[in-house]
Amino acid sequence: MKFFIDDLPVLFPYPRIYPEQYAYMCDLKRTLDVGGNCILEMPSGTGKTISLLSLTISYQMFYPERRKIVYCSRTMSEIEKALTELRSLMAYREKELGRKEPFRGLGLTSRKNLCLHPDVRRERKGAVVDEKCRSLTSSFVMEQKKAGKNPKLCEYHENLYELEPHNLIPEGVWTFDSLMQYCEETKQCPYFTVRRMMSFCNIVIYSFHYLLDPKIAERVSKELSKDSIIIFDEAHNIDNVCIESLSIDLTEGTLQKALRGVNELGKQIDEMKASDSEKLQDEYQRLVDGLREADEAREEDIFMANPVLPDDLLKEAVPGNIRRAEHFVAFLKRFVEYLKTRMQVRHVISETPPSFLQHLKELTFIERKPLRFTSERLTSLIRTLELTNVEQFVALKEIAMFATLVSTYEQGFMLILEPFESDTATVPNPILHFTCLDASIAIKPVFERFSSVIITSGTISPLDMYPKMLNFETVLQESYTMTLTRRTFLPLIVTRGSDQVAISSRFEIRNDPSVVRNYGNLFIEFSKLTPDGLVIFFPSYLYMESIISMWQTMGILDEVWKYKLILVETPDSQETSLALEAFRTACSNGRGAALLCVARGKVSEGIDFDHHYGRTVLMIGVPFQYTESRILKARLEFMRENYHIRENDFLSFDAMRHGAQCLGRVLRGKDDYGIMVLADKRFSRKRNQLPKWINQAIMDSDVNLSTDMAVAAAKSFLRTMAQPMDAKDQEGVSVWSLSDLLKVQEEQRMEAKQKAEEEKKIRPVEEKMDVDEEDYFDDENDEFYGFTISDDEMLLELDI
Amino acid sequence: MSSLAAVQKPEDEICPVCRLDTYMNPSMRFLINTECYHRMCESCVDRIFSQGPAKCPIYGCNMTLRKNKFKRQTFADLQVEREVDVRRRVNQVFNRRREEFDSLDEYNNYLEQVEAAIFNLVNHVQEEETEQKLNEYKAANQSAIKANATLLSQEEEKAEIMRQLEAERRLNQRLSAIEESVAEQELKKEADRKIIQDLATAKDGEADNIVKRAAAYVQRGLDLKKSSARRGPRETTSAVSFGDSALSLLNQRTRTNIADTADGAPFDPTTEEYVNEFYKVQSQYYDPFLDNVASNKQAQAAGFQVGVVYEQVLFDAFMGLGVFIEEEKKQV
Repeated sequence: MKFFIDDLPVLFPYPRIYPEQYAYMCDLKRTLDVGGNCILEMPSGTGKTISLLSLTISYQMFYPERRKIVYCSRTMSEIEKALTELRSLMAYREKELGRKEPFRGLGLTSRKNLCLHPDVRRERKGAVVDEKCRSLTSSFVMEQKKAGKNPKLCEYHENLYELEPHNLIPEGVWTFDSLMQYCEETKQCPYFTVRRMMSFCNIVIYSFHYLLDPKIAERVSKELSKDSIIIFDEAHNIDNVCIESLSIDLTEGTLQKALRGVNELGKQIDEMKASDSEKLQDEYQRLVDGLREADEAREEDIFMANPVLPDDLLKEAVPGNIRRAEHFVAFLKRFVEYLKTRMQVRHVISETPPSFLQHLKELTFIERKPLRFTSERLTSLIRTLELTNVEQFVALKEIAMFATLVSTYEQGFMLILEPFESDTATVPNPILHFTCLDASIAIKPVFERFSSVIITSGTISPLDMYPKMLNFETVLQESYTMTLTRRTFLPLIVTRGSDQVAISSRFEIRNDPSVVRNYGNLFIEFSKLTPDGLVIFFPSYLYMESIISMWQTMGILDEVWKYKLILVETPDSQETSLALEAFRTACSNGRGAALLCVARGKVSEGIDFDHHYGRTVLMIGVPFQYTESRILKARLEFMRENYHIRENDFLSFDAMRHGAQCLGRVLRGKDDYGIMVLADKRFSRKRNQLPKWINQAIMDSDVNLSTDMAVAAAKSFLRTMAQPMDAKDQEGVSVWSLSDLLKVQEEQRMEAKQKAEEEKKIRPVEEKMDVDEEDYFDDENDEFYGFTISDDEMLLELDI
Repeated sequence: MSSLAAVQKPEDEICPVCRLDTYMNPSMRFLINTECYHRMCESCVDRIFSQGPAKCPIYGCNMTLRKNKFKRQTFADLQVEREVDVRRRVNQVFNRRREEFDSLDEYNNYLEQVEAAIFNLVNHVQEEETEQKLNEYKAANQSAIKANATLLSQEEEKAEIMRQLEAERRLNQRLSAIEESVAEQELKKEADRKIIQDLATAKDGEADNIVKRAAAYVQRGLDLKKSSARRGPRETTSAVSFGDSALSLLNQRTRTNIADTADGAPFDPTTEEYVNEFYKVQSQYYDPFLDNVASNKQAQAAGFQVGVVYEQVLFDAFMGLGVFIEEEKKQV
């Protein structure tokens, strides 16, 4: 259907629209007009993606600036889904408008998913695929070919040169499947096709990392103009993505491999000196003249990109003491040896980068400035030596990244050295964590460069935590609720068992037999009454394992087995996919199954349990993080100091967002129904940290239930769900047709007019009154002083 | 110089001289010397070199060694260890700073020269020439070298002090955060107690009001605690100490300068406190004349505060300044 928001015509590919979708689109348009950032929370399963896409595409096509759209999502399957929706949207637009608009939409993902070369794509690890691809496509391989030698090249990549550079792939929306098919036929490389066509697209869909990770962002997202519209979808974990992109972990193995790499480099330099010293001399001369390697003609074959943000790059000449290749290699060796020495301590060390650098300088005479140029210098050295087999330098690359990062940033980072993996280990296995504590560093260039950034998700409460953490301002923060004709989901907060003992996953009482038995009874009762699929989430693997073993000894699992099959998620991904398959088969046939998984695992992040696959979701305990982790503690302290976010607030916020994410798995649409049980005493206090659409559906009577009360509520709910619902009841309330929508728009306009008139009447009178005299002299209103005047002690203290 | 690059695990260290290993003697420590970089255990060093210089006991090495040239090993790789020692020696001579050069280019060229010298010495390339250059430079620029060395040590001291201060500050912050949370808890307990008390002694129908008032009281108490904590420890002029909350309540009234309200709005004495721009009342004043009056217990009990006297006197003194009758007349 087609309707207008203000002056913008919006084409929506379905004949009916939900009220919250309409509100969402209005707010989006307002934000895009004003040109600021916004945070929007839209319940899951209400068609968020299609509303986003239809509004932004209409916006792009209507206004003359043709602002480009960048849509960032988390996983490849989500990107694929978005591309499919986009394609159907464009087909609808073509039908409605009667003409085909010039439009190109592409999605970008890693080489591993898009490679067609039979040797390269066989590799399992993404890094190996990248290196192999580079060895076949880099610029000096091309030069070798020109010089007459016959190096191995990738024919798919070569064929790209035969095509017109602006038109490597025809117009239209290309999902990954269709892209791979097309490129198979024309024998061109899909990855490089998309990379090179990115500046000719109307909309680009890729993952967060391509915009946030400094190592990748500069290369891929350089040419995006300032007024592009950036959308972060499923952005509830965006602060973790930002932190991880600037963090590095080093182990002893890395250091050993790096040392081997350094020795190899030394050998290569000696060889090159013997055979063809001119190249090294040229490089040296270039460094003396201060020419920088900054802008590359061929972006694809840089050995490594600079891991720091582009603004923090030093735009100076390389310092004199690492100009010569031999000096630089000795420099690297000293640095790696120093790290080895540090790793030999036997107690935990936590220090800031400046203190690390000070100690480094004392011991090895390595200054801060040359360290900042490590990555650049290494890249240029590798290129000069014309090394194609760069797999052996992967560890050295990491060390160079670490060196550059630690020397560039003083604030917001921490080095934590843990000699043992856990507190009880006796064999040392040291790891050096270089963690970013400040999530706003990586995302700063995005907010600075682009005027409109939209952050949206289904479970992003509380909304005001994100502007604080990521240090940006919003023009709009909004949370939408689901409009429903009848309750389709039932959230329950169970705080005690049938014996009135409070149940909780608090560390002190989690292994208490009565608590475990109460949880077990809850499990049994819900497996009796749930049709088909039941999903249970635990806070951690350890806890899940200990509870399951205790349940086994209590005989609870045997009892559940009579009603449901039991399947468990494990850290291994293959086992988990097998379990999931079995779960789905069981749900579709017979009495159904129960899946026990972990709240921060792969299942809770990516798998949907829609319709009969998930009728009940049971959250055992509050999914807090492992609070003794040093990295987490450092981060909490940092946030307390700099952003005044209290530690308990942040931990609670983090736990609740994961919890809400798990709960949202079970609903995928308005015709889907489910029961959400939150089984922990602490949930009753954290109720308003849940997303608005869940919070709104919790009745006050459902906040402090015991197991039997919850079972009774669930049974009556399921019986109501079993009643047939007339689709006509929904119309006008939770689903709008075009006429309903136009009516609502008309009403809104009348309201706005009335309000404007009223304001005009009131304002002239209001200006005369300044001081509200009531507050001043009212003896009965004790609020002014906050206590009764007659209280003599207070009087004395105040001395009034 | 064999086994320079080998890294041995601490468990299987065997002294090459006495062939004892750490299994037999767990507290055995290894030392290296700065001439030939050979390793041996502490007991061997003691045994061989305590009576003066002797030849290195490793087969094939004929260097004369002294006991005080032995030190602990910091790097696993002995070559790097040697390089660092050479570097230290050279940097003590070639220690010019960035500020002495006009352009970055010159400084970089200087750095390269130094690096080349170190490289030569470490790899035994043109050793004598480099040593000669070193000594010449040292002889010629002794004073400059010393000056730079002192500058460097001063900088390091400053950096150390800064780091200690920073660590202290962080510790204090952490402690104050803990204190704050404890204080909040107490305040809440206090409020609960007060509610119960009020409810017990109240008349019928007042329960709602009491609860509302109590909630507002708690909120105000929390805000006051926050603002007073932010302001930091305050020194009061008088011996009578105010209750913390009450003092902050007084100070919470916004301080506006009388000039700010000159746009016509009347000065509201209940929400604004008059602050004269010509003087500022200090928190301490040495005044022996009023001291015994101020510390008089009877006077204090009655409510006398010296601070108020000072404020009043100052106010009287400066009251007429900045008032121009002609202008006031014109405004009217």
